[in-house]
Amino acid sequence: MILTDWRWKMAGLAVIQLLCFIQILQIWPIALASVKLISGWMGIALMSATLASSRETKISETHTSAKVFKLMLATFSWIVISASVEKLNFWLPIPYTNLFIGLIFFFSGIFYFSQEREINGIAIGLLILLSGFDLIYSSLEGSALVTGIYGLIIILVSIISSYLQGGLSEGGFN
Amino acid sequence: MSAPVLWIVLPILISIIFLIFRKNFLLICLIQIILCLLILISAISARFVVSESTSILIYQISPTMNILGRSLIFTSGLKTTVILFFSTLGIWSLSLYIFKVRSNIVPFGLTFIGLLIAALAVEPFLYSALIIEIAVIVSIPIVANAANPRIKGVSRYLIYFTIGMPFVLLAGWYLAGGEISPVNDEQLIQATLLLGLGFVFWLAVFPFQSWIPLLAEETEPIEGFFVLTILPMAIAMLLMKYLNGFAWLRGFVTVFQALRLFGLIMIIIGSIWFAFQKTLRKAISYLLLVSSGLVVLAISFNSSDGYIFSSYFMLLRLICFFLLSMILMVIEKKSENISIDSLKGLFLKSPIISLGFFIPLFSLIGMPWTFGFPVMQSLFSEFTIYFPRYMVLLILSQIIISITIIRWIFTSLKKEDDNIASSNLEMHETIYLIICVFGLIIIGIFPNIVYPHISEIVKDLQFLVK
Repeated sequence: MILTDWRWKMAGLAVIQLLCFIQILQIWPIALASVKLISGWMGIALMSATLASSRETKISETHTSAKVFKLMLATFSWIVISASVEKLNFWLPIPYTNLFIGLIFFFSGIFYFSQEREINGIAIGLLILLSGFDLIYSSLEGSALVTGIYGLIIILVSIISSYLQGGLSEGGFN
Repeated sequence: MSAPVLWIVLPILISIIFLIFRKNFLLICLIQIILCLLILISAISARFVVSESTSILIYQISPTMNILGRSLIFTSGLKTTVILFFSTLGIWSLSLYIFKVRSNIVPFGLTFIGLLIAALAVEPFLYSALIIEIAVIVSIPIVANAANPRIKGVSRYLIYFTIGMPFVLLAGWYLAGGEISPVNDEQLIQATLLLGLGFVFWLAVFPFQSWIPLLAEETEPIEGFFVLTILPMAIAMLLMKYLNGFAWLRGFVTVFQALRLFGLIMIIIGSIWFAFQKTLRKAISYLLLVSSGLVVLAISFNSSDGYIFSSYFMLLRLICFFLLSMILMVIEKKSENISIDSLKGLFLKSPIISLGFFIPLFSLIGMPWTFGFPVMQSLFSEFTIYFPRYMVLLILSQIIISITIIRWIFTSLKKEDDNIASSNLEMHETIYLIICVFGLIIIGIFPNIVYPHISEIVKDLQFLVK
């Protein structure tokens, strides 16, 4: 949330996808878990390609106070999740670590896109949210079809983000 | 060939092929209209069981297709939904063709409709949440493009549906668990809460309704209202499928109380906001909210009549908002997103356009001699029997909407220069408008031509409609 350069944001998103992959790897076979990592990284590559080719790409400047506020917001959400995760774990019988990390990503995603106005920022937030939920849902149910559709959703979100930024305008839909 | 291939896979594949030829817009628009017509005929003629009819038009088709252990299953009710959705797409495409308006409804409309039908056909239906999310993403090129810098509504549309999806999926997982092993009250409340949250986001219940007026304002009426009209209908059908599928969900009284509350909130909020809007697009978008609220309210009765009324409201919604979006497209030819004041002089200069604008509005509030009257009258009588305490809220909302529409009529009767594009219509456009307007008047006078057929949509919900 405090990063300003889109390259760092994309790198951070790639790390989140990797972390989710490592967690899912502990409960799923590598072939199925890889689908999530590959689709996630494909989406990131697509968004990065659009941002890199965009003529108007600029590094947004953020005040230190805003950064502190965002960090405190994230910390507060982590405290709330830490306090409530045990109760939630009673509802959702999945590994504690997966639930904790999943919820952290889920709410971080919501906080992220709630502070963004540009479509690429919103897409990054949505991908973080989807990664968090994916970690929780994968622990509940392991299905090849769900994995496939979920991967498709992640790629489609990235495509839509690129489309709305004009990345597909050359020979695009309009 | 099976029904899912014919009515889901084939339209999606053809839509992808159309992308290659999208520069010949009028040609692919015409092909899309013909395709919708063929699907319509194929759905009317198809039978899932061996038919005794000797007609050459009747044929038998397999209703099932299996994919990775899951199935797409068609029932006779879903077949009626196919007829309804594809005829809507066909008539919307026909309007684009006649008025020569370029839109991404051609070809994305085929994929969008195909995916919505897939979401209703998939078994186990827990997966429908994922397919709805894909349909939402596919619909974004219809309502937005890179050339339009206003993406606030589109962003919220995407965000709310993406947030709603995890809740519906988790609720589905809970409910499926409940079918295998007994559940306690606490689990029931948790599942209901999750499902409620999911559908609150999807159905745009207050305070998550902001994307509807924003989307309507930012997009062209013919495109925006296409998505805004059809998508909530598919969501409402999905809600009924959930209620039909899980015994302990439909046996939980709180679910229907919550639905009643949601429906009433949508109707009240929608009607109040409708009265205070200054632009036509936003005002009509709030009517969409009222219309969704009426569908939810009808479902909340949890009676056979209630579910059948909900199907009537869906048809009413489709026909009225089609005509309204077309009229908005016509009167906005000169200036985009016109204000209510721009209606001045409309009736005197263009009576046909005025009729096309006001008759759907009167139908939506259920004025006598309009298409909406039988269904609104039935809803009122049902509501009076079961929930007389809330009746005043429903009447209040109808009064607010009626007064606002009457105010608009007076505005349109004022002698002013017509500053909208109504007089620039070509002959074939005028004839098309006259056919649509008089079609609505005729089905308003003889509503039994269409209403009995549309209730087929809910007839398959054997635990809800008895």
